[in-house]
Amino acid sequence: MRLRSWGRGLLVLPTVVWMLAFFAIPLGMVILYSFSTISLVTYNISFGWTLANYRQIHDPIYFDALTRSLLLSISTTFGCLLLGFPLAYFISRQPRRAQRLLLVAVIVPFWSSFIVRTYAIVNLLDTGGPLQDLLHGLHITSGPLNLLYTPKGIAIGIIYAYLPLMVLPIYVSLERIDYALIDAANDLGANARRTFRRVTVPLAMPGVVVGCIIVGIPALGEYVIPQILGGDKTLMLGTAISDQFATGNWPFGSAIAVALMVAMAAALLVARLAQRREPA
Amino acid sequence: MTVAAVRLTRLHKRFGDLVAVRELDLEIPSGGFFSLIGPSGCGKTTTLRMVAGLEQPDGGTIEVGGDDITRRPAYRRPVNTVFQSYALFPHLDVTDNVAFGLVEERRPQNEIRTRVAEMLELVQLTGRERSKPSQLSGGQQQRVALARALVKHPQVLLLDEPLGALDLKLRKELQQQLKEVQRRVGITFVYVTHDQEEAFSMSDRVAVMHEGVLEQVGTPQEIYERPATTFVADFVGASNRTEATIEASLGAGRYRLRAGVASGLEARGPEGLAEGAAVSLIVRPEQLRLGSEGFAAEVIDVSYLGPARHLVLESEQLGRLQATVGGEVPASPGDRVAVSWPADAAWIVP
Amino acid sequence: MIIRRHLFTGLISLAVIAFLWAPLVIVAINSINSDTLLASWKGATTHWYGDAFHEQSVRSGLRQTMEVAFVSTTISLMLAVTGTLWWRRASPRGRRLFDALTYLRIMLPEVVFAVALFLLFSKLSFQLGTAAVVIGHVVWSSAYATLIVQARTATLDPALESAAADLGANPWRVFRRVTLPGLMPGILAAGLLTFTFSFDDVVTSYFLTGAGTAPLPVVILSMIRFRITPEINAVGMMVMVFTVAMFAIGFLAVTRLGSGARRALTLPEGRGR
Repeated sequence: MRLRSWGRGLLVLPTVVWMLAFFAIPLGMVILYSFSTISLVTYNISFGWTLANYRQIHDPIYFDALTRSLLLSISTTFGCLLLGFPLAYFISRQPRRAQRLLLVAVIVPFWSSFIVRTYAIVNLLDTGGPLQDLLHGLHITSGPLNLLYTPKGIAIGIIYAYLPLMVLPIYVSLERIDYALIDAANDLGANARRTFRRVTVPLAMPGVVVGCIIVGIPALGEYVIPQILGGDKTLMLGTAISDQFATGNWPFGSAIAVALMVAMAAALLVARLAQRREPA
Repeated sequence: MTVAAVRLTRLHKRFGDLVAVRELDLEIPSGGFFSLIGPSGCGKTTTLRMVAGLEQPDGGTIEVGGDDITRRPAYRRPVNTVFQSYALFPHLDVTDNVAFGLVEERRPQNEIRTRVAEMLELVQLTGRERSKPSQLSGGQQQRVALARALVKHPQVLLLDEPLGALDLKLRKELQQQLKEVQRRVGITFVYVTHDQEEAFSMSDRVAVMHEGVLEQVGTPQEIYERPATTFVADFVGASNRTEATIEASLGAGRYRLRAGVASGLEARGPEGLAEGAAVSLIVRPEQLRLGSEGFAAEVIDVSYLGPARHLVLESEQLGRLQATVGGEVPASPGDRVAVSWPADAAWIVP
Repeated sequence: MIIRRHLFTGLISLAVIAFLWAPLVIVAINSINSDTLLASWKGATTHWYGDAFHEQSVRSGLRQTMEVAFVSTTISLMLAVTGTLWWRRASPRGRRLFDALTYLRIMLPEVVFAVALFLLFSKLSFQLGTAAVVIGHVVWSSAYATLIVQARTATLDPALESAAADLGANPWRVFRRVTLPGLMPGILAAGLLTFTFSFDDVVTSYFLTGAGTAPLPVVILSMIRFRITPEINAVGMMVMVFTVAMFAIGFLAVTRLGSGARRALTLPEGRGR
């Protein structure tokens, strides 16, 4: 049944209005504020179109935060890939019922509260915590391991939180592969490792790219994990923005926010190009 | 003079660059079984949907029972449709499906119950009131769709190839049932199909469409024996066709023609054809006779069709011919025979 | 389970899964550990759960979270359904714009949303609190709801709506009697998902709560600042069980219960179309 076109437009109006008011305009304000200045005495904000805030990002502290966020995003993506690919591959090679069981085992931690999981990592990484006991017991390390409140701790936290997001798309790509063909190839003498490299991996690539996108890009803007696991010593973009707004320096906070958005747009662009080069 | 059930005037519909229905004028008399046939893409379904209100025409008017309903939305038209896919509501059982339209009319509960029961009896589905569509067979689902549309007593019932998904035997059964239901209920049925045989077996009148244009309207007999165009002639059955020229008009629709070297052929045709006009001459395969007199031809092939034989012949004067002959044929490939036909069997298509 | 053949990946997989579950198990264990300092195991007790129940900030936090989650879910579902209904019949260009808007809201980090709204509300002198948090949640949770409802929409048979109109139902009645029942599994799943996202949310809630009652995750966040106590673990355990249960129901609603209706309402196959 056809509604008249203007009548139909009425349906999308709520969404448009809401997003205009609470999404587009606020973001516009952030961009606007990033070009303003604030008097540190009176806390008056004047709009003078200056790039001072952006220049301030070059200060070592903040520039470090920027590079740290980028590095962390890349390293956690890589870490998730390293751990997630074998897992996805293993699952895709199981019989149907085992697959379902394993997928549930991967998904359920993801369903549990985000903040609970994150401070559970605190428990885990703490000196005197079970991980250190385990590592001591296996004689891998000796003495206290300072993982908490370091970039390494944050990385572990991010990998922990985002791992299922890497596993699932890769699993979906791998699951489509007809392993009967691969096994046949192996039987016929093709080296198993070669088959894996030249057949399995390329077929899994679309899933790998998707996984990297949905892990790497949100990781840039993470706030909760660095906040809980990084303490005050490890600044990242998300926590930097929060700090600036907490202390009232809205212009600078806005500038960092814009920088984050630009970094994400750039990362997304790279990812899209990578996707386009894949034969889907 | 009874008002036509449906009257289409200069109906026009375009999808982008494609003209689906082109300036269509059609009158469907009330109370009978009317079929709209043609090959895929000829515009018959589009026409039906425009009558139902599911498509908007780009031009022209649609009248039902004398009322202009062109601008009315589908839910306010006195017509109902039986869809090709049945479109039964899967979350409702048979009773609720059939009662759907009556609920929309705000009928009182007991009236709904009575009418639904009557309709289910008419389509022989009593006892299946609580079944869900997924629990029914194709034929049963089709009957529910029919009941659902009929229970509203529309002025016109539109059927869009409703038997397409069924196997042959079931199709023939349901064709018979549809015809009976129409007789009993007396509502005008407008039936769309690409199957000429199906349409002929059920309909009082048939319209043939081709590329958005109406080629011919008439009774099945008229369409078959006196096709107005070569397309219609070929669509409703096999034909032997040859080009010819009119030598003379003998009055009352009879003519003498010359076809190639053969001259003096007599045939019937539409009135008013001029001398010297170039026409096509058509003879149906079942009209050809093998005998002692007629055009010389050589038998190329004989096929066994059960009750009949199908022959392919080659004649020097008339070209390749197809004949369907009943019973035993005293001829085999290679034989030379004489082919003839009754004078009334030949028809001229201008 | 086939492990022999894939020994290498199998071992890694099991290690990874252990890694995923270990923290949760630790939370569970610590929530019943008698040792207040959580330095070692001192016997089992459930009194931490009792303590957590009686803790004022936890109770009000829970109430606040529920309130916010209900309201934001309702609004998000309305936006998702209306938006999707429009999207079904929209022009390709309209669809592209709508989809871009949806994906943008999913990809953008929550921090940016939060501070942007913070700026807006400050400028408008709009008081931070429950309303502000709800508004913030709706902005991004409606995007997830929209995706799910859109996916569900793809499985609906358009002929059903034509049939309903043909039988006399005006557009509103068609929606109520045919479209809505068809969308219901998707709406339920979207509702559960957005409820849980909202329930679980930290960033937006943290920035936009202001001086008012904080939602539970923010309460937990401030509790963590001091020290991880068994009580926090108890709270965390309860929250975890709740969110897992919600997601599990939503998952079942889509796969099992939904598949019956999904099968029925999907385009009929092999009908000689």
